[in-house]
Amino acid sequence: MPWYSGDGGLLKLTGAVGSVVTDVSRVRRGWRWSSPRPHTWPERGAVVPAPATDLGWARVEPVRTIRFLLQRGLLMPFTEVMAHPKVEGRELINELERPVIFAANHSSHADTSLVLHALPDRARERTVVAAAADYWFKRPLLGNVVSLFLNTFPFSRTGGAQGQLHSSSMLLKSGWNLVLFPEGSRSPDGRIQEFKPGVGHLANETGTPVVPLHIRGAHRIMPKGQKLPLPGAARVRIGKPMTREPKEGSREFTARIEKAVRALSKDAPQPDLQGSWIERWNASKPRDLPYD
Amino acid sequence: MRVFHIETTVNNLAFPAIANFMQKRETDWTPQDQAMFLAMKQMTDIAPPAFKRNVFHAMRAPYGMTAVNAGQVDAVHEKTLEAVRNQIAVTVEGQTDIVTLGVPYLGPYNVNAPMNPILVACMGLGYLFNFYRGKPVLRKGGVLVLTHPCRYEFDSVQHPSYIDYFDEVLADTTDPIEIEKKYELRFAEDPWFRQLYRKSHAYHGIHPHYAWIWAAHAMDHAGDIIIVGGERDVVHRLGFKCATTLEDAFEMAEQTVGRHPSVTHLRMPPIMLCDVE
Repeated sequence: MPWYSGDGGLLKLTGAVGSVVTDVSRVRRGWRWSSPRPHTWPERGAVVPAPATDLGWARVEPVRTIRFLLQRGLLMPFTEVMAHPKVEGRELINELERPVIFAANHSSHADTSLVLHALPDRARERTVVAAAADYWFKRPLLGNVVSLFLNTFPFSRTGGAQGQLHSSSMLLKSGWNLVLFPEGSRSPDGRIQEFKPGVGHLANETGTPVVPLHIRGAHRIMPKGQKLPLPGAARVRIGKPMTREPKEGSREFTARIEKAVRALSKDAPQPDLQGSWIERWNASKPRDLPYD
Repeated sequence: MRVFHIETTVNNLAFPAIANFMQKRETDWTPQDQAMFLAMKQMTDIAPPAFKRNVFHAMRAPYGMTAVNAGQVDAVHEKTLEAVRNQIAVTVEGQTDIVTLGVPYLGPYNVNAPMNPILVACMGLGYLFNFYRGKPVLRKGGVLVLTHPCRYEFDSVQHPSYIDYFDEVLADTTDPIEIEKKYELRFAEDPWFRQLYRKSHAYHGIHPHYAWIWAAHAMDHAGDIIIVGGERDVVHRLGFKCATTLEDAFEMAEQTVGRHPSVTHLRMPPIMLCDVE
């Protein structure tokens, strides 16, 4: 039987296309695409708002493998080229046996990729980043794309503390490390702002250790308000994991974390390295003060 | 004994975002909703029934909680009923000659199974018709128009007795009282259906009978019942009329309700309670 006759083949395809065209034109007529909403139609009804998504799809295979490839192939090389990040203290988190919260200062959008760059592969694969729900997830497409690259999940900054705590603690309990920026938003001038108590609360509730992190130089790469990153040197310093002391409250723990991050930001005093060895030896000798 | 009772109510959010247009009024559909509708219609036109069923049954309802009441049993239940009423009550202006209804793909008894013709009757006439308080939306002797493909398809694991009920009992009579006299005991005590009920994943042998009785009030109340888009033989076996399109159904209804009937279409949001004024 030739291709142009019978029930199958081209005839069927033409029929299918024809039915699509009919349907589209019927919808066009029914909803009056070309004219405003008719006044005879009833008022728009209330719609049940869709529940907030926790982007579970971004934490299952094959998305994890795709993200691994994207990060190794694009994100890490880009970060390397742009910032040449120097990482100090990576050995402290090489052998993490349980999920931790990474608490870092926040002065730039570049912070997240710098933190991810600083983590060892094993830890990075199992790390989610808390991203402001009201900023990143206002536009669903943006939120989903960012989540594909950085494994972010929506973290509400306003209200609903219990629900937020619940979803974050569920992630920690299911073995994910969590990157949190306890300052709540990017610092306008690069200085560390006050930490919000949520991080201590979350750590207390779940009994999770907190790793303080300090990022220097991110503010120069991409300060608040700047659209594109500029090359610049950055340094990520990782501190020792901290656990809550017995009977320590959330706020006290948060204050201790903040102190640890601030301590990481300070550079050790550099010894004067000028001159020959004997001059340096002499310089390091305790001085005889002229008065007593 | 002191009893502490907790009851919760959920909203009507039965479809995930992809099929959310099904619980909006058509006049409220956004361009995205219209596109989803078009795409889903093409899919349902082309795809085989089992595939469509799997797609629809795979949807999980993202229900949200609307009320939590706790305390003493009776007081809690009263509060819960009030919350439910506030949520699902719909005011309808007067009874009408014709009621049109779309029967959904899912009922309480066909989870992961096709909705067989008896369950279509149970769902359309037993559940949806009876979603009212006071008096029905349809006037006595009016015409009830349902849309459903109404195929001859049964799940032999879940609904073995439905097959016999459809093939033997409904072929003999569709009158619930006569069926009760002649067949109820036989189906209730059938040892094989009992065995399947106890050891397999089947509903009890008498289940199709109760599903059928459920529809009795609507069958008694309506002057005519027309199923649009159903398989002719199957619909006739149920004792209803079969129409190809909605226009045909209205033509057929003319014999019962005259040339200029009043028509009410009940959208299924999917659960509601009509308060007829």
